[in-house]
Amino acid sequence: MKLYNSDGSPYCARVRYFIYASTLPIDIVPQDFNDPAFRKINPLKKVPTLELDNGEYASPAAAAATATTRHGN
Amino acid sequence: MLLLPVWAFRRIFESEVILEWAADMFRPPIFRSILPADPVACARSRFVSRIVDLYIGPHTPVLYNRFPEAHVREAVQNMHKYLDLLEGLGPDPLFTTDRRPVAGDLAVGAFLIHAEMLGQRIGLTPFEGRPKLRAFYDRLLKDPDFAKVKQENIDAFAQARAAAKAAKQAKL
Repeated sequence: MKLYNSDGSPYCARVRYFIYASTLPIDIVPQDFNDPAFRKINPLKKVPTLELDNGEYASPAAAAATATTRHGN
Repeated sequence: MLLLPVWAFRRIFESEVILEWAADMFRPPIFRSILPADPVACARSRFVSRIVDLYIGPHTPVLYNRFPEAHVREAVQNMHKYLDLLEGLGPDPLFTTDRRPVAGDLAVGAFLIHAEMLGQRIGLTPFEGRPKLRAFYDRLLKDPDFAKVKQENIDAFAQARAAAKAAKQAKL
């Protein structure tokens, strides 16, 4: 997973805080939201934007099962 | 017309929506709880997030850009009004939980980082006469992840200022 981020955004700060406090592997990539190319990623041109990897459309229940398997409790 | 193409479903927008998705998908410790377990505290956290997003957020552009004086004055008055509301809500020292920061706390905390950093120029004084808000922010700053996020914001603005200064000098 990839988080399009701006370190100067208070909205990104909220998300980064919880990523830092967790173990979920998310790549945090710097993004200039004024970059016209970013419109292809988010037509609203807003950060944060989270991009899922392929195959991450699992239901919450499936994800919870995965989490349980990974951590064994 | 703004179209969200099919691939948009692989992308999640808006900070609270991203957090809610992650919290729905993953259990702690893979992803930290974003809401308190107690339903009343949970409602309180959501309410505080909405105060910031719906009533304070729309006025924050005056922190970052130049606007006519009357517009700035009105925006600052509105932000002070909602900061007073938060001060009135706040059970010292944290707003929405007695244990660790949750989504509502981060909504307020992230705004306070920017208000503290950029508010002076426009007369926004988030902590003046608001001891509960001050205590809340001081306690948040003891959390290393929040302190890290704050420093990243400070560094980002220092870099942006340096880049703007360099661009201005290059024009001369």
